[in-house]
Amino acid sequence: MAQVAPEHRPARLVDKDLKNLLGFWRTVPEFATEWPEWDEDSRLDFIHEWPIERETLQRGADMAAAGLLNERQQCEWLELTRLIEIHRDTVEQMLGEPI
Amino acid sequence: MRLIHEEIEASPDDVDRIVRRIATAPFNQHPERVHARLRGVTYGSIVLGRMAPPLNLHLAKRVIEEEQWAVGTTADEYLNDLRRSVLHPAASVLVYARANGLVAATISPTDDVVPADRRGVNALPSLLVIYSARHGNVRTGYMFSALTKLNLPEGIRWLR
Repeated sequence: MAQVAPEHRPARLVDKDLKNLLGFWRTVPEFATEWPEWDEDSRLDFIHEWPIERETLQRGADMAAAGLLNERQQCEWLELTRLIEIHRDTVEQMLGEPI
Repeated sequence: MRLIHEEIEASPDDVDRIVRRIATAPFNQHPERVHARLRGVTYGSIVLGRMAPPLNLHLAKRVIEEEQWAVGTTADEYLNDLRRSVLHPAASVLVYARANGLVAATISPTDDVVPADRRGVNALPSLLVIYSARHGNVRTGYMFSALTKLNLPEGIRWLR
């Protein structure tokens, strides 16, 4: 991911980004189990909406790279990067493209 | 469909017709699966379960999860913002294929089409509206900061 200098972002919004991202990546195993039951429309919408996740992730990466996360946020970011490492292939299979 | 597969030229009238089609299309009404992390989310009278009407699902996501639109935005207001975006004279119009679906989309400047009091704290500069050519309905609309974030597929055609 390209790193750019992030704009100032209130802690509440950084927390919210991390909450949303962790909410997704922590539930990938459950999501993957359900995926075969998802109809084509629901799958397609997941794909169409993925750029929102990607942009949120990029914001987090920019904040982390710039050293702008507090201690708790750094811990959550670390957990997130580990989850992505574990589940990247699964999500990319569902998306049919790189995350 | 021919615009994508045969790369025929689209005349200004063709583009206008596509824009009008998107602007008058209904939002998808086929109930959709709700991701586990969103189940239990409430917004006004909306309570997300395992399935939800797409407009309710997308509105709750835009307002509660992503905060792109402000709390208080109604489904009609969200849909009207998307339609205003499609009809913006400077809207970019593009067509592409993704995951076996043929898509037409528009991109407009958010500030021109979403009133200030309806923009959330995470409002972003551009507004994307996606229309399914196969289903004849609007699939989604959300804000983004730059084209590079969309990861648009190869073979995309910019009609305007």
